[in-house]
Amino acid sequence: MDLLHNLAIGLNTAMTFQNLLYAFFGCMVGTLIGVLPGIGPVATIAMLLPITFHLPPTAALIMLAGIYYGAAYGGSTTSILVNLPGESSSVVTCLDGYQMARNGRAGAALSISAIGSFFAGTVGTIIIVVFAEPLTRMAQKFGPADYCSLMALGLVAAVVLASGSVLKAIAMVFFGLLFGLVGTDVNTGAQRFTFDIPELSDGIDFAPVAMGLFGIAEIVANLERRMSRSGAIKVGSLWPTREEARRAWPAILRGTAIGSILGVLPGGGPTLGAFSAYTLEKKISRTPQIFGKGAVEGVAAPESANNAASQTSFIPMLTLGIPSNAVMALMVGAMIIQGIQPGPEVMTKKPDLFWGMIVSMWIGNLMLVIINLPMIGMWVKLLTVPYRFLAPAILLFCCIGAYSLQNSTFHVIQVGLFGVLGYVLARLGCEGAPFLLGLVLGPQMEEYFRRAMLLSRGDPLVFVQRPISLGLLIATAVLLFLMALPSIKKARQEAFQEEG
Amino acid sequence: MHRFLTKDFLSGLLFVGFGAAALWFGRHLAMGTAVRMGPGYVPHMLAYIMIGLGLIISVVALVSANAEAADMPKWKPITLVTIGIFCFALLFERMGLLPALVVLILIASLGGEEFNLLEVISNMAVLALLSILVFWVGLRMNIGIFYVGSTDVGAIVLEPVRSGIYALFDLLSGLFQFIGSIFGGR
Repeated sequence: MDLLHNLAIGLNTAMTFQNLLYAFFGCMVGTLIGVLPGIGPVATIAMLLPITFHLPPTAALIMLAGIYYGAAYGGSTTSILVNLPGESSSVVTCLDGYQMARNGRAGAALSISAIGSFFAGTVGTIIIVVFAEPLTRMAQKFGPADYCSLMALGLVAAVVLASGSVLKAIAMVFFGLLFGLVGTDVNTGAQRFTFDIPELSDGIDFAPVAMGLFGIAEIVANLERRMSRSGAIKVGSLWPTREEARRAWPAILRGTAIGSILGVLPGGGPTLGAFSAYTLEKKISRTPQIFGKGAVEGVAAPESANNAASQTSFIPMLTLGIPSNAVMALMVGAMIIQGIQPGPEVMTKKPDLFWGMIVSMWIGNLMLVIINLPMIGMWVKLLTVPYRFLAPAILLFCCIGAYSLQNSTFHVIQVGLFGVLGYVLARLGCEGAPFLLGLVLGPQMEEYFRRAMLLSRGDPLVFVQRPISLGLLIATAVLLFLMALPSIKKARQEAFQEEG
Repeated sequence: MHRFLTKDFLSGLLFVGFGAAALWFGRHLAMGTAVRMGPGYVPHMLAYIMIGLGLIISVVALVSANAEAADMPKWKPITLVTIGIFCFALLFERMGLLPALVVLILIASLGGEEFNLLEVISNMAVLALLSILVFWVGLRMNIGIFYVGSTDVGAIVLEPVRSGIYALFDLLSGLFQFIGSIFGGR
């Protein structure tokens, strides 16, 4: 009855008025910054970090966690309504969510994503409670070679996302990996591609790239098209049709499963979970051609997966003290500010903090559904504003948000430069999502690659000798093979048509 | 249709260009060995792959008869938006938020098809209020509002308003804590 006992401790902590209030506050701030394009949870949490110093440890962590999953929630709202991903984990939601919105099913897309997220959040919380210890032991078995293969699988999954040419998408992944190299080399301290610009020695920040590649390029594309996009979107009924619900449920279940597993692995996290869930749905669907054109599964699965993963990604942070993403790194920072050393001792020495935080995450997810489903009307109101008002507002928030990352105008310049790059790439029919994932995973992947090669004394066979790594690589190869098939077929067909 | 102005050929060229640039700028980085990789090992590897992929994409585009033609871009929106962002970056720390905001919005609005000065001015006013409330008051970001010389005149004028809002907030949170102490018991 350890489990019930733990839950009781958690409930006791989470249900105090103060902690409920901070959970609510965190959720609201998170949703707001998620909805506002260009300000991500990383920047907000970083800005609020000094404030948490004045709060009790549990309240501070509960609030920051609320911002984290609230932002994912609000981010999917903007993904669906304005095609602007609030953060990397909702990039995939844009693909089908925005198309659903254009088909007049925005309301259904929003409520499916809300329900899917809540369901996944609930399952994710249960998983943390039940499996925290055994799952952590599993993740500890991963060696550098396994991580490297896992990331290769994630990157190949990103290629599947691109609807255009497979070759170009693979090239975009490498393009992103190349940009990920910028900065100080971790192993030797050598400066790589920094051009003597001090701001570049920490590497290229994810946020300005995302703002430029997606935000600015989108604004420019809309200015060119001379259309007020807001007019094209009708939210429609919030209730999914029976058909939509029938197709969404299995996708939510599968997305939750994938997200929960990938969330536990450091370096996996919500983004990889969402990407993988989308890939799986597209592959097992009987109608893969509707993906990218408003498929319900394409919203339900990644939204569930990223929420499940953002819950379970707390496991390595809380139990091992290893942050699996930028937000978790900031959470570790918040704990250290409070004088708590993250690691295995947290669970035993501070059970009220550990379990209180976990229970409050579930409460926060519940709050999000209750707050947000009625407020979807308000988010939609934001869209009745003509685009010529919205565009400068998005631009301005991107600029200030980029500045706030490190209080440096260099990041604002970066937004402009990546805006130009994003515009050129969009003109040439190259997609940004694989680039972004390459950029995010690149530095870690290089580190694991080098570490694996060092451990194996330069023998690349290590990647096929370890069973976990071998399994992941086989999955990657199968995925590549499957992608190549239709592409060959299509090219043949087109050549055929030309001749005939 | 011009054979070389297809989307695929140009993007292949772009990849080759960036790969070559990475090789050139990374030429001084030591390769090291497979066991002990230097800082240049992975960059070189990636650059060669990029160049290879870019070449394949370009050649395929040249050979295939039905590559999609690249259309001429409209220069105005992308140029003006980029100039607007650079002006913002330039003005933000020297002149403060308000002048940077006015310039950014003016230039960006010129990039659109419809331009109505009155609308643009009201847009500026709303966004100025909103961004000051969110970033300066709400998030307590350390940003200048409007510098005249080296003094932030904007901040001096607005500071009493900000302190007033904080005082109100402190009062409310005190009230909440009082109610909380009744219900929570801790």
